[in-house]
Amino acid sequence: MTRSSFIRPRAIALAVAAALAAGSLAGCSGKSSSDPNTLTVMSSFTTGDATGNEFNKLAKEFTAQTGIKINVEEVNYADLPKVYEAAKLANKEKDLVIENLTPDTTDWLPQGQVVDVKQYLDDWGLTDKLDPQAIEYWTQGDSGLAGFPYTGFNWPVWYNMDLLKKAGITQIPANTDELIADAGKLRAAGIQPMALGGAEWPVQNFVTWMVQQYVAPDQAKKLFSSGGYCANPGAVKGLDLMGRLRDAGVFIDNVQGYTADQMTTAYFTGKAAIMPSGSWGYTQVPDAVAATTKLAGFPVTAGGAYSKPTAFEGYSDGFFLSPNGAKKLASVEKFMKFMYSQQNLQSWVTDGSQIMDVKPEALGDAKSTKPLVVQGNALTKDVVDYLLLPDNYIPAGFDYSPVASEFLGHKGETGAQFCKALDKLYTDKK
Amino acid sequence: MTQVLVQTPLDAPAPAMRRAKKPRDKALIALALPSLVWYVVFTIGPLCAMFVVAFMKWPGLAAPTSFNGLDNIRNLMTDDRLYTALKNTAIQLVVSLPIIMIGAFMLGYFLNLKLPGHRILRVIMFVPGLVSLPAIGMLFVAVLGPTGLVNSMLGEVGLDSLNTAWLADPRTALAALIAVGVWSGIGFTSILFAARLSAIDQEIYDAAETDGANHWQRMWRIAYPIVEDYFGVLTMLQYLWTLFGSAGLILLLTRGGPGESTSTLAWLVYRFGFREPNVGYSQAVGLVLFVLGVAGLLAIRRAFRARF
Repeated sequence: MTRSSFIRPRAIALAVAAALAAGSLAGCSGKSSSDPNTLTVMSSFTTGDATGNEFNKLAKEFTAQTGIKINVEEVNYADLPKVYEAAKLANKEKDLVIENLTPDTTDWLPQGQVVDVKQYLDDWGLTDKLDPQAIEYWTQGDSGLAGFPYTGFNWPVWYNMDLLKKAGITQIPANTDELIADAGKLRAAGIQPMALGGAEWPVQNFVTWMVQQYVAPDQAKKLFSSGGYCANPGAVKGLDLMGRLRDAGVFIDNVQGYTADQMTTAYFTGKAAIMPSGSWGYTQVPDAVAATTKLAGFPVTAGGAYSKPTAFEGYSDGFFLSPNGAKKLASVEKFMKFMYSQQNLQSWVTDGSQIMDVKPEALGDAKSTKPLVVQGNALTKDVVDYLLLPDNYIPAGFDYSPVASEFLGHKGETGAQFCKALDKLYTDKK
Repeated sequence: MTQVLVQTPLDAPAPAMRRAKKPRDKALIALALPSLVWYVVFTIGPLCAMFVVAFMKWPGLAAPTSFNGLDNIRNLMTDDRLYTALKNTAIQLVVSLPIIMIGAFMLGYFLNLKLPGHRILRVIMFVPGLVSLPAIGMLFVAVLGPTGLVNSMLGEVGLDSLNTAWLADPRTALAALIAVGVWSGIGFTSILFAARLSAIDQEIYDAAETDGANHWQRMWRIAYPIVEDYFGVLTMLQYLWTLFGSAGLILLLTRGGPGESTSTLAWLVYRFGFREPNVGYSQAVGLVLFVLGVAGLLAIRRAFRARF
């Protein structure tokens, strides 16, 4: 091989590598259009999911009707807050952001990363359409309204009745003692009882679920906002209950290592008989599992704060308006009016199978035919007690899951020990 | 290594060659200037910024900032999360660094024997270096997860009682993380060693063999002394990769948990910077990391310096 013939393939290889690198770097560049006839949206509604498909469909219809382009960047909801904040630092943020109001996003409005939309809601005639409780949830004191509330959720407990029957259980457990007894029967039949994402956000929610078995909403607000679990006997009892469930084998084996996805997979594939999860999963569950699933609240705790089974409901995704978006108000107004039009709200219910943050009259007679959505809607306050949703109270950046995962993995650890780890999260922050 | 020092007489005139080179030197400096500016702005600049930000109150990337003196340092000194992270970082370094360096050197020597199939083996050893960090994360979630490969294999051989959530059990999480780090680091480093060892004259090995040296003796008494300085350089690099680069794997596999079981200093920098937004505090941890990085480099350099 001559020197030149040796160099040529190497030079070609280098050129190809450089081209690949340049291509991937070009793919990384995020653009934020200043064209008033283009709206850029960072969306946690992802294609392939009912929400993403519905949103993309409506975005196309909006463009066809108005000529205003909608450029959508889809980002996993867990990653979205950091992606948005990084773009905001460079003032290259998208005009609208579709995301939950959670501890990851509650500081956006106070920090000026998004703008107060209260005035726009009123001026554009949308206030009357919205559920007043949704507006209250999205209102952050003097800072204003963090965004346009859009979709909501309920978060009950899912029971696979076929698996329960295989273990000789004919009814869902009415109280926690029955739940523990049923878990024993399921294990005896070789079936894992309750799946839970013990290593991720589902466990944070479950901790607040257990604590509220013995704590009334007013006290719960204080606990979630500023800690003090060990000083609250009800909270310690709730954590003890969680430890009791763990020690009695109610949770799936090695629950402390389960992610949210692994939790739903365990339930959707029939490996676990019970799962606490929300309405976002109603459209994802396989038909066979949906057909045998019964939705209900978490069983009543004897001597607890609630007399009915408990569940969560709340207001999840909404449209945050960024400072860049506020420069295109005319287009944003058209878009938001379009999204809140009765026809499109109905489409979200019938085609997207979503729960909307609007008054019933704004939806007309629209109903979803998905069996689990229908079941979820039937979980009225006559049937279950709805707990205080902690997301708007737990401070930004807090994460219970590392300490909760550790608690789930430590058989015999008590609520009095776990409460110290939770309180430490708050004292460390100070 | 031999150095020849030529002393120039003090009263001798400066060599004419040096004067003749000056215009060329200026041109070279001018050509190097853009990269120098780039280096100062994008490498030295952020490093200096760390020393400033560490003394600021900065609650989130987009939040207003203010100087808070020594508050971050003072709080850090009484924060037991720092000491847990220091302990975990020390365990990670003390366990993984010797395994990777000694293992990689031995593998490198083995590859250099050029036994049949050594080319395929080289490719296999290099593969972890070609796998992106997210892919490694996905792979090991599947291997070490509650229903993963390890637990399934244990179940198959009747050792169900040993099943655990390897990445979420405080007794095993850090060890699992270290094992993943060793898996991804040892092959790549062994290829680097093999490349260096291939430069050793085969006659040296042959002479040692004639004198009755076995492989172990040839590896540690012939090859190692020859490449000791290179071993030191790779140890330094591996030390830095482990010390500064652990946050990525932790983010993908354990997020520092359960509890603080897998929290390292690099993870704390990420955690305080992005997850619990406190950028100033994050950079205060960064200062600790920087000091440890420099101290470690000096110690390794001293340990492996040429002694002849």
